Amino acid sequence: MKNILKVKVFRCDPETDTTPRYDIFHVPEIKNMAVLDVVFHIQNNQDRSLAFRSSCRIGMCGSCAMFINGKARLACRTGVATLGTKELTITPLPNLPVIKDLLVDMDPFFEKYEKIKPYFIPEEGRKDFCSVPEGLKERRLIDEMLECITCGACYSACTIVTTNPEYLGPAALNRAFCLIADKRDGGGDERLRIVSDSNGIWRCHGQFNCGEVCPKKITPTWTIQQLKKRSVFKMMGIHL
Amino acid sequence: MNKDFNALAWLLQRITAVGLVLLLGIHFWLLHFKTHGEVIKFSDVSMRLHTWTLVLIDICLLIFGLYHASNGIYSIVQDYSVGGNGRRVTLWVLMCGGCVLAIIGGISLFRFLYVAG
Repeated sequence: MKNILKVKVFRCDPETDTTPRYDIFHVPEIKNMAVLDVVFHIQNNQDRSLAFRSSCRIGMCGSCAMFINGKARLACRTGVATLGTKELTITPLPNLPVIKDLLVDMDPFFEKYEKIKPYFIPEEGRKDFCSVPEGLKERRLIDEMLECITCGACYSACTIVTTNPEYLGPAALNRAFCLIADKRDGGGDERLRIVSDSNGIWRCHGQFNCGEVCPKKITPTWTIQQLKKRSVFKMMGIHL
Repeated sequence: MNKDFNALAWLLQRITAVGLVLLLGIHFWLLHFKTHGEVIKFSDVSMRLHTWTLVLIDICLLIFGLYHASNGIYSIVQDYSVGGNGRRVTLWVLMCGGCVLAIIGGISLFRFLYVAG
């Protein structure tokens, strides 16, 4: 006999519903089933109106991040078996406005991302290509942090974002660090000025919630500490 | 708010935290091991505070504690996204309150050196 999963799904259409509700679905479990398979099963067989976002299904695009059993996770990379229970509760990512059901509006997240100028700004006056050899510590640091897929899991887990919606958030600050630490980039000073705002790096209190939920095992708390260090040294007139 | 002010405030918060751990350690050690008898008497405290070194330690403890607490409260206000005016008012209230408490505390300590007993 097949195992049946009891799935509690957050439902809300802000255009028609006055209050959100939870719908319960029963889904037959299959081998190596991911939570994304569960929501697809519900949409295909039980309720076609269920809204959620997904794309690559291999943990690369970051679009299927959801709040699964009390933790922000990528639905495509979360095996049902790893949850250790046959009861699933799926809600949209916290700290972001709900568009419908499990679908959230990522605009507040990307607006902050945009603020830190998340693109490479070539250094002025450089005529030749500049390479950063693979073995260098600087390169290793940046490589590790570049893994971010902007899924928004860290942003949704951050308690400071909850209390202060102006806070830039872990993902944007992590991206800023990647560019500031890159010696080829010419926008470091300006970026450091942006992140040193009172709603920037100083709001992080090192709770490590972002690192706890990151599907790519990045620890933005660490990069934020590095930015604080750089900002303090810059105040003293020392440029790292 | 000036970006350097944020960096300086953050750095001082760390420095005062380390200072507080050391000074509180000294404070507790004095209370537990340098107090005669189990009960702390005013006369004992008064006698101890006739020494410049101990008054200086207590002054540092007072200043570090006040800065650490005031900046901590200001940080919480910022965490809760209080708007520009609210932040400015809080900052001024905390700075003025801190200064007043530092003066009151300082006078009380110096009185032991020059006036009391």
